[in-house]
Amino acid sequence: MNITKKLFVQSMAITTAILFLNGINAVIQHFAGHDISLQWYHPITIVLTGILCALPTVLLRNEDQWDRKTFWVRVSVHCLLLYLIVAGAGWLFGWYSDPESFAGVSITFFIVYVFVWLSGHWLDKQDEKKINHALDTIRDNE
Amino acid sequence: MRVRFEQVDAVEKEQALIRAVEKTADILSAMDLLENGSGGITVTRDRSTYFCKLTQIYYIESVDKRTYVCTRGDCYESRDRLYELEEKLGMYYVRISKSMIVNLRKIRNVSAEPGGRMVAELLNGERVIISRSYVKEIKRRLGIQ
Repeated sequence: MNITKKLFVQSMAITTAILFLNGINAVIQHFAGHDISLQWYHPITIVLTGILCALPTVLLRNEDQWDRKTFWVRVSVHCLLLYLIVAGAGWLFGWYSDPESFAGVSITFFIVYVFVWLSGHWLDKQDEKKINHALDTIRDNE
Repeated sequence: MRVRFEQVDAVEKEQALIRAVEKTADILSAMDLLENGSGGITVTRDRSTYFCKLTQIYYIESVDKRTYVCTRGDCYESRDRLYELEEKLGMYYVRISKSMIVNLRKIRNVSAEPGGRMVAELLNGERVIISRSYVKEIKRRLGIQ
């Protein structure tokens, strides 16, 4: 996948994830008796944040050629950059008004980041099982 | 044994089904011929030229614009580029990174690593990296949906 396509797909995925989480949060808040309302500029700021969050993906290019240490260093830097973008966008676009809501956004961010990695790894493990099963049927006897 | 030929319209649809009581030497030879072809490639080492059967190949690697053909315990050099060899080899020889083709029949197992790449352990104990972008093609070659 070329980098432009990758950035576009990432932008869409991140935007969808943020909208999904906001939707869940709105439902929870509603049933807890605290209805929330969006400002006119909130949806577009979510899309802009999604695009900005896709940019650090460039850091993860050619990940196949790294050793394990380089991989984890880059992933950590990637996570930190994303967090700074989300925190900065939240401050700029007024997503939170007090330390409590800022903490909520921060915790949600890290949960989503870890969840995305874990779910990706779980899918890779499914592929691993399927490939190993198929290899059993064609392997040479040596 | 009766042999029946049925024409199909695409290479992907080609397959051979052998119904037999047991896997005799003749049947194993026929399977080997159908899966790997009858060929091999010409390789060199220490100024000597050898003929390497395709079934002996573990992997082929490109390093500094040179192409190395590796078997269980030896490595030879080939004049062909990786993409040229890719066209000559059978369906179980698949690209796993920009610089390597592996013989799927020589893989003991694969394990997924964080980040989407996989590590393949070969029958001789060597470990090679499968790039994330080539996993889809490996699945296709193995008939995995």
